[in-house]
Amino acid sequence: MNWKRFFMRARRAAEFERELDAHLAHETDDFLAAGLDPGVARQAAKRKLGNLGTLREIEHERNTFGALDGASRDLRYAARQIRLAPAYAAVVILSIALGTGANTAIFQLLDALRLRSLPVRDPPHLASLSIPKPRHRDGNFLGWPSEFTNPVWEAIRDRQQAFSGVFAWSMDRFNISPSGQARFAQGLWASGDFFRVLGVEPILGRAFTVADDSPNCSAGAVISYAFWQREFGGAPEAVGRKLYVNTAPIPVIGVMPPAFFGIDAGRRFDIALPLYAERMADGGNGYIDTSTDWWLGVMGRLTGC
Amino acid sequence: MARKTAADRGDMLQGTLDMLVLRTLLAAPAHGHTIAHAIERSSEDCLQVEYGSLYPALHRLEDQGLITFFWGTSENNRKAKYYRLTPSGKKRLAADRSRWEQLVAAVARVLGPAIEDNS
Repeated sequence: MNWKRFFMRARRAAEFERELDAHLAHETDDFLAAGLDPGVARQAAKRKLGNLGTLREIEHERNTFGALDGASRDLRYAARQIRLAPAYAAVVILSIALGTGANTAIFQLLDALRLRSLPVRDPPHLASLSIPKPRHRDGNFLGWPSEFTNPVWEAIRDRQQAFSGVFAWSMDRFNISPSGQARFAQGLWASGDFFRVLGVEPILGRAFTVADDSPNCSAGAVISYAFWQREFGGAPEAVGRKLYVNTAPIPVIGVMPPAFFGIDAGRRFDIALPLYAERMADGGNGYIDTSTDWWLGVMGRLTGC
Repeated sequence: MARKTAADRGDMLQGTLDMLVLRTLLAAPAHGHTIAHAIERSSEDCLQVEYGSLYPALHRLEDQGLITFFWGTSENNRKAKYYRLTPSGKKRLAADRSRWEQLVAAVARVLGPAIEDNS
Protein backbone atom coordinates (compact mmCIF):
# COMPACT_ATOMS: atom_id res chain seq x y z
CA MET A 1 0.00 0.00 0.00
CA ASN A 2 1.39 3.39 -0.87
CA TRP A 3 0.26 7.00 -1.16
CA LYS A 4 0.64 7.15 -4.92
CA ARG A 5 -1.88 4.39 -5.32
CA PHE A 6 -4.14 5.97 -2.70
CA PHE A 7 -4.48 9.10 -4.82
CA MET A 8 -5.06 7.05 -7.98
CA ARG A 9 -7.72 4.84 -6.45
CA ALA A 10 -10.59 6.22 -8.57
CA ARG A 11 -8.70 5.42 -11.78
CA ARG A 12 -7.79 1.97 -10.53
CA ALA A 13 -11.39 1.23 -9.54
CA ALA A 14 -12.50 2.16 -13.08
CA GLU A 15 -9.78 -0.07 -14.49
CA PHE A 16 -11.00 -2.98 -12.38
CA GLU A 17 -14.56 -2.43 -13.67
CA ARG A 18 -13.24 -2.62 -17.22
CA GLU A 19 -11.42 -5.83 -16.39
CA LEU A 20 -14.60 -7.32 -14.93
CA ASP A 21 -16.59 -6.25 -17.99
CA ALA A 22 -14.05 -7.90 -20.28
CA HIS A 23 -14.21 -11.04 -18.19
CA LEU A 24 -18.01 -11.18 -18.32
CA ALA A 25 -17.94 -10.62 -22.08
CA HIS A 26 -15.57 -13.55 -22.59
CA GLU A 27 -17.55 -15.78 -20.26
CA THR A 28 -20.80 -14.85 -22.05
CA ASP A 29 -19.12 -15.71 -25.36
CA ASP A 30 -18.30 -19.15 -23.93
CA PHE A 31 -21.89 -19.74 -22.84
CA LEU A 32 -23.21 -18.52 -26.20
CA ALA A 33 -20.88 -20.91 -27.94
CA ALA A 34 -22.27 -23.67 -25.71
CA GLY A 35 -25.71 -22.82 -27.10
CA LEU A 36 -27.35 -20.67 -24.38
CA ASP A 37 -29.71 -17.76 -25.18
CA PRO A 38 -27.96 -14.34 -25.03
CA GLY A 39 -29.86 -13.12 -21.92
CA VAL A 40 -29.41 -16.40 -20.09
CA ALA A 41 -25.74 -16.56 -21.08
CA ARG A 42 -25.00 -13.15 -19.50
CA GLN A 43 -26.77 -14.18 -16.29
CA ALA A 44 -24.86 -17.46 -16.16
CA ALA A 45 -21.56 -15.61 -16.64
CA LYS A 46 -22.39 -13.29 -13.73
CA ARG A 47 -23.36 -16.22 -11.53
CA LYS A 48 -20.12 -17.99 -12.28
CA LEU A 49 -18.06 -14.89 -11.39
CA GLY A 50 -19.54 -14.97 -7.89
CA ASN A 51 -20.17 -12.11 -5.52
CA LEU A 52 -19.21 -8.91 -7.30
CA GLY A 53 -19.59 -6.85 -4.13
CA THR A 54 -16.92 -8.91 -2.36
CA LEU A 55 -14.57 -8.62 -5.32
CA ARG A 56 -15.01 -4.84 -5.45
CA GLU A 57 -14.44 -4.63 -1.71
CA ILE A 58 -11.16 -6.53 -1.94
CA GLU A 59 -10.08 -4.21 -4.75
CA HIS A 60 -11.08 -1.16 -2.70
CA GLU A 61 -9.12 -2.35 0.32
CA ARG A 62 -6.09 -2.81 -1.88
CA ASN A 63 -6.20 0.83 -2.92
CA THR A 64 -6.89 2.50 0.37
CA PHE A 65 -5.65 2.77 3.94
CA GLY A 66 -8.13 0.68 5.88
CA ALA A 67 -7.76 2.50 9.19
CA LEU A 68 -7.86 5.92 7.52
CA ASP A 69 -10.92 4.97 5.50
CA GLY A 70 -12.74 3.75 8.60
CA ALA A 71 -11.74 6.82 10.59
CA SER A 72 -13.01 9.22 7.93
CA ARG A 73 -16.32 7.34 7.77
CA ASP A 74 -16.62 7.48 11.56
CA LEU A 75 -15.88 11.21 11.54
CA ARG A 76 -18.53 11.90 8.92
CA TYR A 77 -21.03 9.82 10.87
CA ALA A 78 -20.20 11.73 14.07
CA ALA A 79 -20.61 15.08 12.29
CA ARG A 80 -24.05 14.01 10.98
CA GLN A 81 -25.17 12.94 14.44
CA ILE A 82 -24.01 16.24 15.96
CA ARG A 83 -25.97 18.17 13.34
CA LEU A 84 -29.08 16.12 14.07
CA ALA A 85 -29.09 16.98 17.78
CA PRO A 86 -27.08 20.20 18.29
CA ALA A 87 -28.36 20.96 21.79
CA TYR A 88 -27.60 17.49 23.07
CA ALA A 89 -24.20 17.53 21.35
CA ALA A 90 -23.39 20.90 22.91
CA VAL A 91 -24.18 19.57 26.38
CA VAL A 92 -22.04 16.49 25.81
CA ILE A 93 -19.11 18.47 24.41
CA LEU A 94 -19.33 20.98 27.25
CA SER A 95 -19.37 18.22 29.88
CA ILE A 96 -16.35 16.55 28.35
CA ALA A 97 -14.54 19.89 28.11
CA LEU A 98 -15.30 20.76 31.73
CA GLY A 99 -14.34 17.29 32.91
CA THR A 100 -11.05 17.40 31.05
CA GLY A 101 -10.35 20.91 32.33
CA ALA A 102 -11.09 19.99 35.93
CA ASN A 103 -8.88 16.93 35.72
CA THR A 104 -6.03 18.94 34.25
CA ALA A 105 -6.36 21.62 36.91
CA ILE A 106 -6.38 19.10 39.74
CA PHE A 107 -3.42 17.28 38.28
CA GLN A 108 -1.45 20.52 37.95
CA LEU A 109 -2.15 21.32 41.60
CA LEU A 110 -1.17 17.83 42.71
CA ASP A 111 1.92 17.93 40.54
CA ALA A 112 3.10 21.23 41.99
CA LEU A 113 2.33 20.38 45.62
CA ARG A 114 3.00 16.67 45.94
CA LEU A 115 4.79 15.11 42.98
CA ARG A 116 7.59 17.58 42.47
CA SER A 117 10.29 17.74 45.09
CA LEU A 118 11.87 20.95 46.23
CA PRO A 119 14.82 22.20 44.18
CA VAL A 120 17.25 21.77 47.07
CA ARG A 121 19.79 19.22 48.29
CA ASP A 122 18.23 16.05 49.76
CA PRO A 123 14.63 17.30 50.17
CA PRO A 124 13.30 14.13 51.93
CA HIS A 125 15.23 15.01 55.09
CA LEU A 126 13.74 18.44 55.44
CA ALA A 127 11.01 18.73 58.05
CA SER A 128 8.59 21.53 58.69
CA LEU A 129 7.76 22.56 62.26
CA SER A 130 4.32 23.48 63.51
CA ILE A 131 2.56 24.07 66.81
CA PRO A 132 0.23 21.19 67.74
CA LYS A 133 -2.59 23.38 69.07
CA PRO A 134 -2.32 26.54 66.99
CA ARG A 135 -5.61 27.97 68.27
CA HIS A 136 -4.03 28.78 71.64
CA ARG A 137 -2.00 31.59 70.10
CA ASP A 138 -2.85 35.27 70.45
CA GLY A 139 -1.85 38.12 68.20
CA ASN A 140 -1.68 38.97 64.53
CA PHE A 141 -1.26 36.31 61.88
CA LEU A 142 0.53 37.71 58.90
CA GLY A 143 1.36 36.29 55.50
CA TRP A 144 2.24 32.67 55.04
CA PRO A 145 3.30 30.53 56.81
CA SER A 146 2.23 32.21 60.06
CA GLU A 147 3.31 29.52 62.49
CA PHE A 148 5.83 31.27 64.76
CA THR A 149 6.86 34.68 66.10
CA ASN A 150 10.44 35.80 65.85
CA PRO A 151 11.20 35.27 69.59
CA VAL A 152 9.76 31.73 69.41
CA TRP A 153 11.85 31.02 66.30
CA GLU A 154 15.01 32.28 68.02
CA ALA A 155 14.30 30.11 71.03
CA ILE A 156 13.88 27.08 68.75
CA ARG A 157 17.06 27.94 66.88
CA ASP A 158 19.11 28.21 70.07
CA ARG A 159 17.78 25.10 71.87
CA GLN A 160 16.77 22.53 69.26
CA GLN A 161 18.66 19.22 69.07
CA ALA A 162 16.74 17.31 66.41
CA PHE A 163 18.18 19.09 63.41
CA SER A 164 21.61 19.60 61.94
CA GLY A 165 20.37 22.99 60.84
CA VAL A 166 17.18 25.06 61.04
CA PHE A 167 15.88 28.14 59.31
CA ALA A 168 12.85 30.40 59.39
CA TRP A 169 11.15 31.89 56.41
CA SER A 170 8.09 33.84 55.33
CA MET A 171 6.54 34.87 52.05
CA ASP A 172 5.71 38.55 51.67
CA ARG A 173 5.04 41.19 49.08
CA PHE A 174 7.76 43.79 48.54
CA ASN A 175 7.21 47.20 47.05
CA ILE A 176 10.28 47.70 44.88
CA SER A 177 9.46 51.19 43.68
CA PRO A 178 11.75 53.88 45.22
CA SER A 179 8.91 56.41 45.34
CA GLY A 180 5.58 57.15 43.80
CA GLN A 181 3.43 54.40 42.43
CA ALA A 182 4.00 51.03 44.10
CA ARG A 183 5.47 48.15 42.14
CA PHE A 184 5.36 44.74 43.76
CA ALA A 185 7.64 41.73 43.77
CA GLN A 186 7.31 38.38 45.51
CA GLY A 187 9.38 38.65 48.66
CA LEU A 188 10.94 36.00 50.86
CA TRP A 189 12.14 36.64 54.39
CA ALA A 190 14.71 34.08 55.39
CA SER A 191 16.92 33.52 58.41
CA GLY A 192 20.67 33.57 57.93
CA ASP A 193 21.07 29.80 57.66
CA PHE A 194 18.39 29.45 54.98
CA PHE A 195 20.64 28.83 51.97
CA ARG A 196 23.24 26.83 53.88
CA VAL A 197 20.68 24.40 55.33
CA LEU A 198 18.92 23.99 51.99
CA GLY A 199 22.24 23.49 50.26
CA VAL A 200 21.66 25.92 47.42
CA GLU A 201 24.60 27.80 45.95
CA PRO A 202 24.27 31.13 44.13
CA ILE A 203 25.38 31.31 40.51
CA LEU A 204 26.54 34.87 40.99
CA GLY A 205 27.79 36.76 44.06
CA ARG A 206 27.07 35.16 47.43
CA ALA A 207 24.14 34.09 49.55
CA PHE A 208 23.58 35.75 52.90
CA THR A 209 24.63 33.86 56.03
CA VAL A 210 24.00 33.96 59.75
CA ALA A 211 26.43 36.90 59.98
CA ASP A 212 24.18 38.94 57.68
CA ASP A 213 21.10 38.21 59.76
CA SER A 214 21.71 40.31 62.85
CA PRO A 215 20.13 43.42 64.34
CA ASN A 216 22.78 45.86 63.17
CA CYS A 217 23.97 44.49 59.87
CA SER A 218 23.58 46.17 56.52
CA ALA A 219 21.36 43.75 54.72
CA GLY A 220 21.88 42.39 51.24
CA ALA A 221 19.30 40.87 48.90
CA VAL A 222 19.55 37.54 47.13
CA ILE A 223 17.45 37.50 43.97
CA SER A 224 15.99 34.70 41.90
CA TYR A 225 17.22 33.87 38.42
CA ALA A 226 13.88 34.95 36.88
CA PHE A 227 13.96 38.30 38.69
CA TRP A 228 17.60 38.81 37.66
CA GLN A 229 16.63 38.27 34.02
CA ARG A 230 13.54 40.46 34.30
CA GLU A 231 14.95 43.41 36.21
CA PHE A 232 18.62 43.40 35.25
CA GLY A 233 18.53 41.64 31.86
CA GLY A 234 20.82 38.97 33.27
CA ALA A 235 23.71 41.45 33.59
CA PRO A 236 26.58 40.34 35.87
CA GLU A 237 26.82 43.93 37.17
CA ALA A 238 23.51 43.35 38.95
CA VAL A 239 25.48 42.31 42.03
CA GLY A 240 26.17 45.50 43.96
CA ARG A 241 23.30 47.44 42.40
CA LYS A 242 20.64 48.79 44.73
CA LEU A 243 17.09 47.58 45.02
CA TYR A 244 14.39 49.47 46.84
CA VAL A 245 12.38 47.30 49.18
CA ASN A 246 9.55 49.21 50.82
CA THR A 247 11.60 52.37 50.03
CA ALA A 248 14.75 51.13 51.82
CA PRO A 249 17.75 50.88 49.48
CA ILE A 250 19.29 47.39 49.68
CA PRO A 251 22.19 46.11 47.56
CA VAL A 252 21.94 42.89 45.57
CA ILE A 253 24.56 40.44 46.82
CA GLY A 254 23.78 37.24 44.91
CA VAL A 255 21.72 35.47 42.25
CA MET A 256 20.18 31.99 42.69
CA PRO A 257 20.28 29.27 39.99
CA PRO A 258 17.27 28.96 37.62
CA ALA A 259 15.98 25.74 39.25
CA PHE A 260 15.60 27.32 42.69
CA PHE A 261 12.15 28.92 42.82
CA GLY A 262 11.95 28.99 46.62
CA ILE A 263 10.59 26.39 49.02
CA ASP A 264 6.93 27.23 48.67
CA ALA A 265 5.66 24.92 45.91
CA GLY A 266 3.52 26.85 43.47
CA ARG A 267 4.81 30.26 44.55
CA ARG A 268 8.06 31.78 43.35
CA PHE A 269 10.20 34.33 45.11
CA ASP A 270 11.83 37.32 43.46
CA ILE A 271 13.84 38.80 46.32
CA ALA A 272 15.07 37.13 49.49
CA LEU A 273 16.08 39.23 52.50
CA PRO A 274 17.43 38.22 55.91
CA LEU A 275 14.85 38.41 58.72
CA TYR A 276 16.56 41.36 60.43
CA ALA A 277 16.35 43.43 57.28
CA GLU A 278 12.65 43.45 57.97
CA ARG A 279 13.20 46.11 60.63
CA MET A 280 14.88 48.38 58.14
CA ALA A 281 12.60 47.72 55.21
CA ASP A 282 9.50 48.26 57.28
CA GLY A 283 10.76 51.52 58.71
CA GLY A 284 11.62 50.20 62.15
CA ASN A 285 8.20 49.06 63.24
CA GLY A 286 8.33 45.50 61.87
CA TYR A 287 7.33 42.20 63.31
CA ILE A 288 10.80 41.12 64.29
CA ASP A 289 10.68 42.49 67.82
CA THR A 290 7.17 41.53 68.84
CA SER A 291 5.93 38.31 70.36
CA THR A 292 2.41 38.75 69.05
CA ASP A 293 3.08 38.82 65.31
CA TRP A 294 3.01 35.28 63.93
CA TRP A 295 4.64 35.44 60.55
CA LEU A 296 7.36 32.78 60.28
CA GLY A 297 7.59 29.17 59.24
CA VAL A 298 10.42 26.97 60.51
CA MET A 299 12.07 24.08 58.70
CA GLY A 300 15.04 21.95 59.59
CA ARG A 301 17.28 19.28 58.23
CA LEU A 302 17.01 16.13 60.34
CA THR A 303 20.23 14.82 61.91
CA GLY A 304 21.40 11.24 61.74
CA CYS A 305 20.28 10.83 58.16
CA MET B 1 -5.46 -4.04 6.74
CA ALA B 2 -4.89 -7.63 7.73
CA ARG B 3 -8.34 -8.81 6.78
CA LYS B 4 -8.87 -12.19 5.24
CA THR B 5 -9.36 -11.95 1.52
CA ALA B 6 -11.31 -14.37 -0.62
CA ALA B 7 -8.01 -15.76 -1.87
CA ASP B 8 -7.07 -16.88 1.63
CA ARG B 9 -10.31 -18.77 2.00
CA GLY B 10 -9.98 -20.57 -1.37
CA ASP B 11 -10.11 -24.33 -1.60
CA MET B 12 -6.77 -24.49 -3.28
CA LEU B 13 -3.76 -25.11 -1.13
CA GLN B 14 -2.46 -21.80 0.18
CA GLY B 15 -0.02 -20.21 -2.24
CA THR B 16 -0.46 -22.70 -5.05
CA LEU B 17 -2.78 -20.44 -7.07
CA ASP B 18 -0.06 -17.80 -7.34
CA MET B 19 2.39 -20.42 -8.55
CA LEU B 20 -0.08 -21.82 -11.11
CA VAL B 21 -0.82 -18.32 -12.43
CA LEU B 22 2.90 -17.59 -12.82
CA ARG B 23 3.41 -20.90 -14.60
CA THR B 24 0.55 -20.18 -17.01
CA LEU B 25 1.95 -16.73 -17.82
CA LEU B 26 5.39 -18.24 -18.51
CA ALA B 27 4.05 -19.55 -21.84
CA ALA B 28 2.52 -16.28 -23.06
CA PRO B 29 0.75 -13.14 -21.77
CA ALA B 30 -2.93 -13.81 -21.05
CA HIS B 31 -6.00 -12.17 -19.53
CA GLY B 32 -7.83 -13.44 -16.45
CA HIS B 33 -10.43 -15.49 -18.24
CA THR B 34 -7.82 -17.33 -20.31
CA ILE B 35 -5.60 -17.94 -17.29
CA ALA B 36 -8.47 -19.66 -15.46
CA HIS B 37 -9.32 -21.80 -18.47
CA ALA B 38 -5.67 -22.70 -19.07
CA ILE B 39 -5.23 -23.88 -15.50
CA GLU B 40 -8.41 -25.93 -15.64
CA ARG B 41 -7.52 -27.42 -19.02
CA SER B 42 -3.93 -28.35 -18.19
CA SER B 43 -5.05 -29.91 -14.88
CA GLU B 44 -7.54 -31.95 -16.95
CA ASP B 45 -10.41 -30.22 -15.11
CA CYS B 46 -9.14 -31.49 -11.76
CA LEU B 47 -8.53 -27.93 -10.50
CA GLN B 48 -11.36 -25.39 -10.59
CA VAL B 49 -10.23 -21.77 -10.44
CA GLU B 50 -12.63 -19.49 -8.63
CA TYR B 51 -12.77 -16.07 -10.20
CA GLY B 52 -13.38 -14.63 -6.78
CA SER B 53 -9.85 -15.76 -5.89
CA LEU B 54 -8.21 -15.31 -9.27
CA TYR B 55 -8.58 -11.54 -9.66
CA PRO B 56 -7.37 -10.67 -6.16
CA ALA B 57 -4.45 -13.06 -6.77
CA LEU B 58 -3.58 -11.34 -10.04
CA HIS B 59 -3.65 -7.94 -8.36
CA ARG B 60 -1.55 -9.20 -5.49
CA LEU B 61 1.08 -10.52 -7.90
CA GLU B 62 0.97 -7.20 -9.72
CA ASP B 63 1.53 -5.34 -6.44
CA GLN B 64 4.55 -7.55 -5.75
CA GLY B 65 5.98 -6.68 -9.16
CA LEU B 66 5.92 -10.30 -10.32
CA ILE B 67 3.61 -9.52 -13.25
CA THR B 68 2.69 -6.40 -15.24
CA PHE B 69 -0.34 -5.71 -17.40
CA PHE B 70 -1.30 -4.11 -20.69
CA TRP B 71 -4.60 -3.65 -22.48
CA GLY B 72 -4.84 -5.81 -25.59
CA THR B 73 -7.34 -7.31 -27.98
CA SER B 74 -8.42 -10.86 -27.27
CA GLU B 75 -9.06 -13.78 -29.60
CA ASN B 76 -12.78 -12.87 -29.38
CA ASN B 77 -11.87 -9.41 -30.70
CA ARG B 78 -12.61 -7.82 -27.34
CA LYS B 79 -10.53 -5.47 -25.16
CA ALA B 80 -8.98 -7.35 -22.27
CA LYS B 81 -6.41 -6.76 -19.52
CA TYR B 82 -3.42 -8.93 -20.34
CA TYR B 83 -0.87 -9.95 -17.73
CA ARG B 84 2.77 -10.61 -18.48
CA LEU B 85 5.50 -12.23 -16.35
CA THR B 86 8.34 -9.97 -15.19
CA PRO B 87 11.95 -11.18 -14.64
CA SER B 88 11.38 -11.25 -10.87
CA GLY B 89 8.19 -13.22 -11.51
CA LYS B 90 10.26 -15.79 -13.38
CA LYS B 91 12.65 -16.06 -10.46
CA ARG B 92 9.76 -16.45 -8.04
CA LEU B 93 8.27 -19.21 -10.17
CA ALA B 94 11.56 -21.14 -10.13
CA ALA B 95 11.79 -20.79 -6.33
CA ASP B 96 8.16 -21.78 -5.83
CA ARG B 97 8.55 -24.78 -8.10
CA SER B 98 11.57 -26.21 -6.26
CA ARG B 99 9.88 -25.65 -2.89
CA TRP B 100 6.76 -27.38 -4.14
CA GLU B 101 8.75 -30.36 -5.44
CA GLN B 102 10.51 -30.70 -2.09
CA LEU B 103 7.16 -30.60 -0.30
CA VAL B 104 5.61 -33.24 -2.57
CA ALA B 105 8.65 -35.51 -2.21
CA ALA B 106 8.65 -35.10 1.56
CA VAL B 107 4.94 -35.91 1.89
CA ALA B 108 5.40 -38.91 -0.42
CA ARG B 109 8.26 -40.23 1.73
CA VAL B 110 6.09 -39.95 4.86
CA LEU B 111 3.20 -41.75 3.23
CA GLY B 112 5.41 -44.51 1.87
CA PRO B 113 4.16 -47.19 -0.54
CA ALA B 114 0.41 -47.89 -0.49
CA ILE B 115 -0.36 -50.49 2.20
CA GLU B 116 -2.54 -53.44 1.29
CA ASP B 117 -5.39 -53.89 3.73
CA ASN B 118 -5.58 -57.65 4.37
CA SER B 119 -7.85 -57.77 7.39
